[in-house]
Amino acid sequence: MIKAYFLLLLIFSNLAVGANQAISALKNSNSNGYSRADRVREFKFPEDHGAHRDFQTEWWYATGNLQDSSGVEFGYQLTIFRNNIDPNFLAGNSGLKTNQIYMGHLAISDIKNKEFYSYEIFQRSAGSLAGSTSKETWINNWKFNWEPLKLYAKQGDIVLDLNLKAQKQIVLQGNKGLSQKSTQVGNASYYYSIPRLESAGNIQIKGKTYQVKGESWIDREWSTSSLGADETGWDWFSLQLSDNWELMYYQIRNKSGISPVSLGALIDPNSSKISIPHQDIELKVIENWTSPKTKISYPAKWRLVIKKHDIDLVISPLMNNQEHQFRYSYWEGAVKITGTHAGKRINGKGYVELTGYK
Amino acid sequence: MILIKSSIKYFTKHNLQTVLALIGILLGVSIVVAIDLCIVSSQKAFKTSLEQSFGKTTHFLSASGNDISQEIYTKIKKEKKIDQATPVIEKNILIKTNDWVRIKLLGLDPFSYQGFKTTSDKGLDELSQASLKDFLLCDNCGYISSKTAKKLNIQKHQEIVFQHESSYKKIRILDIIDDDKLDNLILVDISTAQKLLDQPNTISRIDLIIKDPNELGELVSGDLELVESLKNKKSTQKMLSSFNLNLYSLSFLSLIVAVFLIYNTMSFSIVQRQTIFGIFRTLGLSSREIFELVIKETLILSVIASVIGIALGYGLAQILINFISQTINDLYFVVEISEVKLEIFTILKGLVAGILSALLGACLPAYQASLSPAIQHTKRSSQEREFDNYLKHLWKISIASISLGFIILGFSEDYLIINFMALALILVGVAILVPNCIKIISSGFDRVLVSKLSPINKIGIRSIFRNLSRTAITITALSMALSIALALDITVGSFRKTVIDWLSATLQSDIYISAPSLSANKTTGNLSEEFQQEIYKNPIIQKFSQNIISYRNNWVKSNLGELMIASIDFNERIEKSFKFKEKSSNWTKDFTENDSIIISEPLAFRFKLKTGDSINLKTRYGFKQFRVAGIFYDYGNEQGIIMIHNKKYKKLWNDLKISSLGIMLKPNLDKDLTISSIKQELAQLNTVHNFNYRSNSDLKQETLRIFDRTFQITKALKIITILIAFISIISTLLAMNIEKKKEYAILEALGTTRKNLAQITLAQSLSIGFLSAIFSLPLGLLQAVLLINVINYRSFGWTLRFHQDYSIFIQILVIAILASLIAGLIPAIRHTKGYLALRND
Repeated sequence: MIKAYFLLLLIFSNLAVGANQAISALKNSNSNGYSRADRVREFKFPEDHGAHRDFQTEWWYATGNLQDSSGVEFGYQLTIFRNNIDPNFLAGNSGLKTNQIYMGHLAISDIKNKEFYSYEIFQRSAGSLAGSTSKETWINNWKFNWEPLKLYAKQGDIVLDLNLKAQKQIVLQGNKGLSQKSTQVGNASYYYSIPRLESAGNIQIKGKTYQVKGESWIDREWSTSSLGADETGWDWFSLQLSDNWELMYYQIRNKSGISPVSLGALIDPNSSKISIPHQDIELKVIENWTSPKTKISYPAKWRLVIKKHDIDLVISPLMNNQEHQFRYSYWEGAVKITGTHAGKRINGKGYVELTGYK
Repeated sequence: MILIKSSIKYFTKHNLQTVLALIGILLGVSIVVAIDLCIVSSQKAFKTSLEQSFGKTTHFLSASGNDISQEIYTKIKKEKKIDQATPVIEKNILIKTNDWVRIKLLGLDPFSYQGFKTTSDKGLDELSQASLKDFLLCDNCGYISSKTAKKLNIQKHQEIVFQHESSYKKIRILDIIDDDKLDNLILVDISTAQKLLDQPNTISRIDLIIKDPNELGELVSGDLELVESLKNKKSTQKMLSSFNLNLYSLSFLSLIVAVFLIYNTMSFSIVQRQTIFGIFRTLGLSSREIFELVIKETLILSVIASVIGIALGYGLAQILINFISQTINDLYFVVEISEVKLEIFTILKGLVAGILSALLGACLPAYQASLSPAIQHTKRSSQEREFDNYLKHLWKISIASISLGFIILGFSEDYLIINFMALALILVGVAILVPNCIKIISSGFDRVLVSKLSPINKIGIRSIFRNLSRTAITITALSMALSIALALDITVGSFRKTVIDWLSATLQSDIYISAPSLSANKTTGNLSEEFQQEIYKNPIIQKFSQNIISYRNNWVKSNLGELMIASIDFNERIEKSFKFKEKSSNWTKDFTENDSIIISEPLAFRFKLKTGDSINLKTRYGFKQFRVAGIFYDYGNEQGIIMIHNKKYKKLWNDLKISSLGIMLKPNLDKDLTISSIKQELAQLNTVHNFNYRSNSDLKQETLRIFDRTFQITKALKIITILIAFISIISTLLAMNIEKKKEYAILEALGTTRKNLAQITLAQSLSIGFLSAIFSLPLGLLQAVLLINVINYRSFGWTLRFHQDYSIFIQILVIAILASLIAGLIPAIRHTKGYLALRND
């Protein structure tokens, strides 16, 4: 999941240098002193659920589609990012000084009422305010708990409180978990996903509690790498099809079109992964939507075809306004899917992330 | 058009008159504007200083001045799940530039501070534009505002040495930020503050934005207290209102005097043009048109004068603000009022005040002008008869106004503004008695004094009584202006004397040591235990001291809100130092043994408490009831204070800290010598610890110095009074001289020299000054009594002993006579031009 990485760097750079210089800072970001994802490694669990502090960036990412007993639909996103702002930092005589800074994004899409609630927080990983172990990762009260698998976050008008149960094995993305971002050695991340988790619990919106059930997707990634010079943004899809297959696809957009590092992955019901080069994926935007607040125009309906695997899908947002309006605005929201796979009619749900649009 | 042209011609030809007419309005407007600007600026500075400290904070969690563990913050974020909470470290440090300067080290957390930012928070936005990484990770990097950098002469990237407690460290200036909110402080990351101040795991407080104080639940226990932010408190907003109201009332009084002045100058201009108005009437103009002409003239003049007055007021405010900001610093809180900005609202106020008061003052003269008969001119004698008729009605108005004033005073204890209005009613009521009084005393005055004078002087003085329609208003205006100066002098003098007596009774120790504090008259810091031990163990201090008394000031929660409590070591000398307004018969026993406290007069006043009433105070064991054993006089704290026995305080609040120490010397020592040797000892200690020390007499002097500084503004007022006296005399005399041109011409033709004529005018002038001074005495005394016993008491709850210094009366007399003498010179010199030109008339 390359997307969150860019996002993270963008936002931290944003803090550091101001919005206009963010992209250029990102492109010149200095990776000296950090560990790098330069070889295939063996993943160990639960250890790898915890932070890899020597790497520059890392994230814990969950999205999902939920509904209550009467069929009212909700989408959610909980992301915790970690950033090491100085690899050469030595801890000193202060309980709150640290080079590990955490950031969180939380959102609930209330599809019925067409309301989108989104929050961003920052915290330093000191004094137990934010941090990560093999058992849990947290920032303030927001938390990924691995054993048992639980998510919790309360902020502003909303509370998210879910128990998750993995329906699929952990999937190592890219080459055995090494996900190359460019041809340059080390310009890669370690990346794994749990593409389908049964989810149940409560969400609360403005004091009203809903008992919900649904399915989630978890991504984990850590790396030290930088953005290509002409890259402008990306589109990322995590789709859960009704025939128990999942499709992940990210495409990095550059000035001349789609970057060659764009990649898809199809996961079968047995958690086996089939990599799909981006040339095999046809993605066509059918509709656009312009945010009334930021005036940014985003794609808002797609047709995705993979002929080789007999996949033909129409992907559309459950509601248009799922735009995070932080210092750096982006669209991340719940989508529904209709179409065919292997000759059969299927449907499904998923999440899409869109960044770098103007 | 021809009318306006004639007006313009008149006012451009008669420069002096124009200037006089302008000055009346101008002075009034400038004072209104200056005071308004000062109040607006001080309120703004106050708001800024609150926002600098509290931002959008509604509450903060602290341990009454002690540091708290950062774990509490973690609990608030993780367990209590409170969105808007941010840790703060705020400490005073001394930094070395050319000299040691006290400055605030402010440690903030840029991440959680986001929600606390106000829209005007430029600083932290710029901070994020600069290097966040350096700010977070550098061990000693901080930001300062451009103003502070300039003041301390510090450059970007420079390192400065600072002292905190007994250690010296360096701070590197990462960048200089153009944000007033960062004035007088160094901004660092919270972790940097921990490192610089050697407090790795603690913070000063946690700022919160919460709706319900119960959100923190059991976390608020033990030492921890949830305090409503100062900004949120109504008391803070009210704090300045009495002070501001007093200032506003001063500007209001100056407007009243301005109305009189305008009346004077406008009627003067009309007297001069009576002939022209007569001609206008002959040419067929209606009296209504003449009335409108005068009103129009007044409008134009008042607009011009108001505009100049606003500019002048703006200048005056630049001077006044220093007095006012010093007073606010001394009395309320540290606030730097850096600039006075001209606000559109103030400009409007000045314009409205100027135009309205001018119209008010011009009404009667305009009416008189409209009565100008078509024949050449009216007879003065008929005007005087008319005035006589007015006087008969004036009695009734005066009595009604005074009675109404007193009735309102009796019923409106709680509303200061209504008290002021009542005071104004009484004042105006008494003032308009003046013309009648002049009439009454005139015959006696004539017999006793005037009859013995030379004929020339007789003419001068008697003309005052014969032209009451001109002179009465002047004398009234002047005596009012003088009486205000007198009343202020008596009030401030009484206040000063009361404070001196109180200081002598209260300050029983010979040397005082206190924690550095942010405000001149409040001890809110504390002395470390380590330091206390050093004092107690010091051989010199041990040798000479009989007793060391400790004081502790702190805020406590009560059923009446947050109150200042002071605990004190109690002994016989201390016992005697309290002067009581009322007390229970065995207060000493109650105070030492039972759950009794004594409270200061302002506190009793604020909450209408009497001896025997009770207050619930929050102790470490929860709320506990205390009985009031007595109410003592205290002028140190206008909010009021609770006094409790040290033993009880320590037990019930478990607070061993001390705000100040008083050293009582053994008897029969050479005081001066002993004090200076102890001071030397303390100077040594002062290089390591941060504290203030003063001898008894230093403290008295310091207190009086602050007191005098506080009331310096009254001096400015005196000067304005003299100026007003001046102008009103000049314009009256000029008016009289013009009316009497014919008489003077005859006198001159009969052989009276021009010198004699000048002498007549001087005699007139002196009589006006003298009479005004005489009338100002009862008027001033009455005002002083009302100010001291009603306004002061109802504003602050202080009982002041009325104290008048007879020299004040003489001063007023001298001011009046000198002013009238000098004022008389201009019209007197005009006589030297002579009147013979008129002899053909």
